[in-house]
Amino acid sequence: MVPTDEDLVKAALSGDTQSFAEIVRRYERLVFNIVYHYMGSRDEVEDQAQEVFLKVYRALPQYDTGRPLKAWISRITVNTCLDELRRRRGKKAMLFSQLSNEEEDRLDRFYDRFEAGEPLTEARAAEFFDLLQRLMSDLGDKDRMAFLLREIEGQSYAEIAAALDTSEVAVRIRVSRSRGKLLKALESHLAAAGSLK
Amino acid sequence: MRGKHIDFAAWETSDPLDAAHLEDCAECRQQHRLALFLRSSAATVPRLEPSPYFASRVAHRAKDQKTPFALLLGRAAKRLLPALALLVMVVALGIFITPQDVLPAEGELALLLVDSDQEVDVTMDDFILDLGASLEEVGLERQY
Repeated sequence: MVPTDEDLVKAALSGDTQSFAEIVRRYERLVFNIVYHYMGSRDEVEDQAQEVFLKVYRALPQYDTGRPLKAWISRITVNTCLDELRRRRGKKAMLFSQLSNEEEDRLDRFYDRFEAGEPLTEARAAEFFDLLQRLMSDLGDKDRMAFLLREIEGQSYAEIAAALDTSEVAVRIRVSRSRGKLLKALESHLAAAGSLK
Repeated sequence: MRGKHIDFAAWETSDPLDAAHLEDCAECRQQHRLALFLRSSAATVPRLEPSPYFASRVAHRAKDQKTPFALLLGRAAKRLLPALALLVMVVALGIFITPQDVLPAEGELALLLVDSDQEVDVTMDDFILDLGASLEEVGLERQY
């Protein structure tokens, strides 16, 4: 029989590291991708993900087994990313959301392919992600996190609310505000590139 | 709807759309295409696959740390440390300072304080709040 998350947490609390390894295996993709999509760089994902799971391990005695483990781990991941970004702010220049002419042209080609019904190849998806990162850098930290949890990770509003420790209404407002800004940015860049009238 | 246009920022792909309005409104048609472009492209951004050894590496590192239960005990002990230190000081003062050690000037000062309307403005709540802030400052982790 497959052990439940609760069984694994209880075993890990009593010092069984194999059970903790199983918890990591269950949620490593979730953590890796939230970190990657939020921080935007592949190089640091593993270190940050490891940091998240060590925090999970240290905080296990505080975990309320009545609540979903996925939401709790998402919350620790989100806080780790937000803290890391806050820590870096001031040390490193942040991305600038204004696209160059060459980037606007690339965006224009993506839009044309979308209108032609061409699916994105893996390489192009990575290229589009770079552009999206630039556009998202204008969003507030929590707005950006809410948007990516919704649109990239495909989480429900209830899951995002648990991860951001807020209400579903607040999450809907954050996601909607992010989409509004991104739509406006897309419209302006595509109009500049000549795709939109 | 936002005014006479559809609000595509709040729109979910599962929400029904007013087809008649879309037919008539070029601006909403354009916003609809942009919203679909944004959503479908965002959903296809690359995803990372962790290394097959990641979980065992993390578990190994966790093993090097104290067990969660030991960490909990350690944390509780750290929290009790200031209170224990205070208790030791109070007991030591009780043992070594007897009433005859109090100089007359100190006794007078004490009487003056008792007679005055001055109140001690540090409540137990303030003390606990200060203690919590100090513990955060020395690096105790956020509570999840």
